[in-house]
Amino acid sequence: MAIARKEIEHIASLARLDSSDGIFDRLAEDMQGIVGMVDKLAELDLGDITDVIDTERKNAFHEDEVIQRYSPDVLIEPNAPDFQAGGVAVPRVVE
Amino acid sequence: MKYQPVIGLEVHAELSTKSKIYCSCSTAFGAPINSHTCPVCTGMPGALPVLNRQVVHYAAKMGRATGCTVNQLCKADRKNYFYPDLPKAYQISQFDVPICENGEVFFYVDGEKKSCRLERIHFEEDAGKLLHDEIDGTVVDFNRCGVPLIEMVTRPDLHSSAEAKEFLEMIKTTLSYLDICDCKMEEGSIRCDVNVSVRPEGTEELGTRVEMKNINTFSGAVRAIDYEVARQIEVLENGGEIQQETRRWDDVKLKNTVMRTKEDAQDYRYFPDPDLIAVEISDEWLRQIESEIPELPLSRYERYLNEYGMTAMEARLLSDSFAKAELLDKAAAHVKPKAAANWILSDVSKYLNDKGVELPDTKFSAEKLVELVQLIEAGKISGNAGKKVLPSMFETDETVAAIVARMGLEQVSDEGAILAIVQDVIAKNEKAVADFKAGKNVTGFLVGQCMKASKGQGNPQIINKLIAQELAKC
Repeated sequence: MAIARKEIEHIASLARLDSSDGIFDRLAEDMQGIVGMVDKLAELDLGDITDVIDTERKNAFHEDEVIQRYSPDVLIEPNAPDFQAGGVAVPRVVE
Repeated sequence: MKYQPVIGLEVHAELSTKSKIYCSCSTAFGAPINSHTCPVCTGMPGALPVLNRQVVHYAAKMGRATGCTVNQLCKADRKNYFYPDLPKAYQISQFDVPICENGEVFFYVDGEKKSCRLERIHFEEDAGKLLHDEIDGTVVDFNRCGVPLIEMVTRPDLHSSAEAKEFLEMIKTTLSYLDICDCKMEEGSIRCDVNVSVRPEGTEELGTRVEMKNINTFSGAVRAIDYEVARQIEVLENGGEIQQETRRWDDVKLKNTVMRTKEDAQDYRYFPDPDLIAVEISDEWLRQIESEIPELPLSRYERYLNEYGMTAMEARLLSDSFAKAELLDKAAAHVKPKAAANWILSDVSKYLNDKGVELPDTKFSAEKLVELVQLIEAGKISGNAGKKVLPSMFETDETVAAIVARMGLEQVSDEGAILAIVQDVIAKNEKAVADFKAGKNVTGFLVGQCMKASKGQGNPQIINKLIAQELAKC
């Protein structure tokens, strides 16, 4: 799979990133390298394995019990760029 | 030209687990902002999700109750999109291998049995809530992030807003029978998106569909569908074309507006979530899940019609509530179903409505209902006295007989005692006796006097019989 600047711009727009940034060509190159590495997996001979689910490890569950360890002043306030009225403040969202 | 609406639904139901789907935070509604959060549900880097076992159980239960096949091996996938209520910028959902597939839901519309196929049911996490009134901007409340949902996706089998409404009601009733969702519409426990298209009647090919979002009530779904069907027909009649788009329903202005068009359609880039491993539901687990499914609403509805001889309205009212249906069926093993049903539909329902309580939260039971009906049938208490003891049946542990005794409502059926009253009343009412001899009907008057003299406890049938007997002697 080839990653061109077009793909980077598409992903950037989905992530609401400013696409005027000059680093996009470099990103395209970097991502091409990453995708190329993943593409190497396709060269493996998997025989007749067609499963889409890895069944070697399965069924890790938590039981349905409430454990409440965090409060917003510890968890959210220090991590929020803008903390107001008990939560993360963002620009007004109108659908 | 006549058009046929084609409707498909995506119904989201919040599962009534205590904890969230991928962490142990509480799912309780209405908590202070962000008080039910942790690194997992707020999407902190490095935090790892672990699936709530109960979610799998509940989702599979709904699947088996709607005729779905359960995929005993399934997985979680990431659905990527960018929105402030989604802190990870992806929702953990299921993509190509949902937990349940290929079901069918049956329901009645105006006495006619219909069905709608379910394409799939999958489990996923809810997003947070955006609050617009707190500040000059938007504040994100993450409490709802990670509350477990099942999404039920139908095939486009529905052809009117009435069918859609009955389908939704049946989904809701089924969820409440299974006790896996609290079904509180006002808290958003059940929400749906609607896909609508129209096609010339008699044709098979599907028209271009429009998705509508922001539908919060079943009656809102009806209004949204009727509006959209009319809008599409008007566009076509004017020679226009339907655009594939997502529209937002406004249930106040009663109209919808374009939210996004095909060009900026979402690209979710699903892929298996590498943080989560496969889910395998063993045969034994599946059997356990199936064994917990009670007789479902449609089956009860049909049984009440056909076996109990009820009207469609009575059968619907009783089968709509699992608690009432259970009460009826347990009582019907001992007394006439109709007698038990009459009490449930009238005084029992009235008490519950007046007090704003649910049947399981009271001390009322099928045993008590049976006892009440039997006491009345045996002439031990009058129907009126039955109504008087009813509130205590909800509020105390006493037997009905004990309540009757405490309130002094026992009906006197002892003929000797009643005879004395009847003779006394006749002796005191010479005019009535004279009227009787003159050919007038005075029985009603004398029964009234006897009831009064017995403080309402005399058995009216026996009083009637004895008055006739004594008058004949005059």
